[in-house]
Amino acid sequence: MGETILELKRAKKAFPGVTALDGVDFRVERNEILGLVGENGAGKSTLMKILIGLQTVDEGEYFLRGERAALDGPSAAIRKGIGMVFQEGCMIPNLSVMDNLFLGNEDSFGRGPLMPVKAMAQAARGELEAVGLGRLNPKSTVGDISSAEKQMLEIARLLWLSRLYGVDNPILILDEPTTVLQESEVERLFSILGALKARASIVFISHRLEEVVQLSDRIVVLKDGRLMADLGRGQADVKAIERLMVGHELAVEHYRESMQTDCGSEVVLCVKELRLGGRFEDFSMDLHRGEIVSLVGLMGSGKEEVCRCLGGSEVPDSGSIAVHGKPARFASPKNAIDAGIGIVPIDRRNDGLATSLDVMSNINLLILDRMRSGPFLKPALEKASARRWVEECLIKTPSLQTSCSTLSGGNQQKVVIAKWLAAEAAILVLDHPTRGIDVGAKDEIYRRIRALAAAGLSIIIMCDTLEEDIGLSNRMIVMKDGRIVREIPCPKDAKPAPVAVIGYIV
Amino acid sequence: MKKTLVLVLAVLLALSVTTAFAQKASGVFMGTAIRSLENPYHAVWARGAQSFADSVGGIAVIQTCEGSSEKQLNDIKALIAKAGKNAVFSIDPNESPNVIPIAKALEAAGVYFVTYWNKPDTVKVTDYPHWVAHISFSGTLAGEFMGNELFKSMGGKGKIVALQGMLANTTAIERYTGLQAALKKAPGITLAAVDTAEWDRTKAFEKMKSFLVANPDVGGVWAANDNMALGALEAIRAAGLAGKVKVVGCDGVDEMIAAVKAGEAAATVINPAFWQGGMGLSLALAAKDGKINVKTLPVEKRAFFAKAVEVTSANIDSIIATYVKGTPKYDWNDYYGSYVAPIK
Amino acid sequence: MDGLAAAASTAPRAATRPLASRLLSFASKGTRGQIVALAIVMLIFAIGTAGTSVSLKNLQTILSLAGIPMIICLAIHQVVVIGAMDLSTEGVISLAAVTSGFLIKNPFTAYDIGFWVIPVAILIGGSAGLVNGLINTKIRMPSFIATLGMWWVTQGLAVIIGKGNAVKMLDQRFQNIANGDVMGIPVTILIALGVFAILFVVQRRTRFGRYLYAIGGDETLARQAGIKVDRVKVIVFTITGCIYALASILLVARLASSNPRTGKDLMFPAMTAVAVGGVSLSGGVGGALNAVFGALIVTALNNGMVLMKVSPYLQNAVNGIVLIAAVAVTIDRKKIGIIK
Repeated sequence: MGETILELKRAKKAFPGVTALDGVDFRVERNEILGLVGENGAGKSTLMKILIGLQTVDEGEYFLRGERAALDGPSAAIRKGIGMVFQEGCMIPNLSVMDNLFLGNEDSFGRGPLMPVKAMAQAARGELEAVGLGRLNPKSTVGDISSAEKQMLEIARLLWLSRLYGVDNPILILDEPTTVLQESEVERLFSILGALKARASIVFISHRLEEVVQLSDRIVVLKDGRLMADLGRGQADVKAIERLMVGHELAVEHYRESMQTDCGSEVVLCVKELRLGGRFEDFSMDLHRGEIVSLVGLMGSGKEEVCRCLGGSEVPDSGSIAVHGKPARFASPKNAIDAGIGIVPIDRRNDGLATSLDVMSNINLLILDRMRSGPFLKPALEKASARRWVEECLIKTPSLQTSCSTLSGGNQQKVVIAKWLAAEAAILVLDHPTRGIDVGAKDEIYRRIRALAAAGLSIIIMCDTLEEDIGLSNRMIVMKDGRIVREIPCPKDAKPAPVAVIGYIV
Repeated sequence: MKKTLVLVLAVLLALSVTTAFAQKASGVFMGTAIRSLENPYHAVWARGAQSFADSVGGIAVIQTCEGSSEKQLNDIKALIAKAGKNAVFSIDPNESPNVIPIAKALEAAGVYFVTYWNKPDTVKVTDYPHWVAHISFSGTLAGEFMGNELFKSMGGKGKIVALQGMLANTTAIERYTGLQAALKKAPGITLAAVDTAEWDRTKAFEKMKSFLVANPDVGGVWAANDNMALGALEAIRAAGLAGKVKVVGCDGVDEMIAAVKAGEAAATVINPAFWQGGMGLSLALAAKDGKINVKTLPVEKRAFFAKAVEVTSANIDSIIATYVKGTPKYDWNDYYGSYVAPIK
Repeated sequence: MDGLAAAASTAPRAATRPLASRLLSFASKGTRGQIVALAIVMLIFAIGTAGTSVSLKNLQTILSLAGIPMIICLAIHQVVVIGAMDLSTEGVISLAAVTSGFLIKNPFTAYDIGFWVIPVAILIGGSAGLVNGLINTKIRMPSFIATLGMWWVTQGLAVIIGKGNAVKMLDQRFQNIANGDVMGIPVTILIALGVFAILFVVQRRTRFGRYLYAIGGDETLARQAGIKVDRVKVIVFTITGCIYALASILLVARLASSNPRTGKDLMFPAMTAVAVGGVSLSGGVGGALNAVFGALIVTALNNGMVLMKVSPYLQNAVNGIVLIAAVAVTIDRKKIGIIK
């Protein structure tokens, strides 16, 4: 085992309603490539944010090169020799490659009034060469170069800075670097990373387990904020890691499975060969009355875009959508509303609700036409409608006039759903309905979803965890790289095991 | 930092407000609503108003609208609200349509007032018993006079260029009409180019520079006001043609009078701003005090052109003595002494 | 490091290119569209005026007319580059003008400080800019509001100080300079080009210049890179104020007269020229050269319209159309990512 240069001891971090890290011990050794894997929500991003000083631990200790580290942000982290390479790059788009490379540290090329542009360009070429960008002109604008090049440029910058600050063996954190790369670029990245290992440590975060296994000297698996395993090279294959990621046990009655109802035979929504260039293609599905269909896939699998197309906020390039057998136009959110499709977005605060308005106005937002008498709104009608839905959806609010911004996340969620129910939506798209909601409230949402389905609403859902997807849905549609790869039925008495499913996803 | 700033701003505001209200609080409020104090014309106007108010122990209130019709109306309404009927008004409406709401507001409040310059033709002064008079200076006559003087200085033949005022502005149109009338009677003169410099000195300078390129043989410049005439004159000076290419303007600003004296300008017209400032208030006050009975006034005394002061090289010395070195003396009780003609 | 050696072998290619091609690439970087636009404008008017518009005399006229607007454009465009806005232009110019008017030999006051008025005016303009910058960064008020407030304040001060007087400048030397020329080239354009040269070098060759673009491109990232963003912004506003003062002195000198209206109606034309020149109003794109071309295009356009006797009723409309067309074309060439 090599020398440990970064160590996190018993790190705990909690956010309202969720424990992101629950006593994690994490270390990085000199000259190694460390693979970090885990499902969405396992705590990877929180861990990374702590490492680069964007967040601090609630409990536990953080040591860098043997010293206790107190970082107050990414630039302090870089001074200590640890930096993160973001997927889309963190470069100023209108500046040149070389400007970005040396930004803020031009003084190291001399303190005269005029910058020695030529010397800087030459130095830049050297830095670029080291990360395989020898053919990139240091004077080209960053906005014009490819994502792969941006990523490598960031690596070059971190390496240069660590040398500037006199830090030996910097730690580079790469977040999903391969998702923006072509296959040939991936190979190049790996060979460069292999070479860089001689003078740096690399933390490699990826959903592509094959790549992780191929590249990493060591693999750390996170699940639910805990460290599940710390495996040396060759200690685990993809299958074993998958099992560790999703865990073994699946509690029997987590998702109110007993309340699951069989769906009707009537097709409520029929999507045929939907395509959005570069995002997804050939997407077809039928949604039946009272059915809960879960869309499963990683970030970038195209499931978010499918839902956006259904909500009318994105216009597909081709394909058709029919609601209740009638072909519908989906060119704007209004079309979707008219067709009876309601979207409950992940970011309720910003997208789903007018938080500055009160509960009543939000519930009646889509049906103001029915609240009129002549050109004027009738307060009595508005109140009656709002009261009805507050009661039906069990919204806990001090009054109908309470501003939605003061409600809890769970109740905001219910207001959004009530809005759609009031508008008589027949289809609901629930985008991560339990995100940021505490455990007790989650159960209430599960029951609510069941009740909606039992009442005949059809639901498309995207969940936080695979277990939730399996548990809640009648059927799963698994997407990968923009295509449907599998449909998996999930009847209440024969739910598939997560291990059996994850292979299709990653 | 923020609190300190707020505090400083509050103190500044308080100071400016208290100084504004520290004026003596008795006597008739004498409102003067004009464009702004940034231009000499209205600055002199305000001095005339102040001088008259002081002479009768009234409280002069100078309101500037800075080009906003709405502000002008609001300011007037604010003073009415404060003073009630104990007020008179003398107004240079920002735009002619603005006259209507102003007249209605003052009429409703029972406040006597006089307006200058801008008025839509369709609005009849006689429909408003408190509208003592609408006074203007004939732009047409001024424009024609300027043209004639310019042509005379050129010996009756040659090319001229013209700089119009703000397009669609009544005064600008009238003065230009006057020029055209003068041109009809001067067969030796051709109008080589017309453009607008929007009353502005810098713009006139720039347009003139371009004019001089296109018309190197230009013999004279007719500008709808002195500001533009002076801007054009600078361009002429820069080209080394001062004295050879003469300019004419209107308004009688000091520099233009100096240019007439120096032989670089042929003529200008003084609209006696000091007189306007004082006489507007004097007429309104006379009506308020019953010295003139608005109801029995003949129609032509309700809307008339007043006498402007024509300046040429012939009378320049006496003009300088009266208007530049000294302040002209007016008999504020000679209400219609400057009457020239009715406004039709 | 081994990369350095590898890079050294490929380095000298830039130095060996012929001067002409280097000049061309220097000028065309980000201003190709503007050069074409200027050429088109000149060509149209050359045809429309049967050559008068491209006569030596008129080219001189255009240059002499372009000088002051160019200086104002050069002042404003810097603020635009950092993604901010400056609406105080007219007020600051008027205030500096009125104050200068009373300090140079004049009929109203006994002061006659001669050319010392230049540093005094620059001090006034710079102070206004400094306050703009401080309000923007320390009190964290949008530059739009901060400078709008400053416009009212300075315009008001100009009226209070000037009392509505047009102040005649009796020191002939100023006017001689402002309307003079050196070997046929108007002095104002030479001064403008001097300002341009300084800003150009600052923008292309100094850290400070680099930081302007970093801030205009992405302020958060610039801050993360350790750039003292607030300080840079304050300096930019201050320099802008100083350049306004320079323009103000020239305006006063050219007409030998100052009054509180001296700065009136200068901001929108300058902003138009900056945009026409290809400086992105969302920041980070375009530089001093664009400001220069913008001022030239707009001036040539207005001069040409006078020569062609385009109806004054139409002239403003033409300006507006050119603005929208120019910006539409400019935006097309940019990456969507940096249009905010």
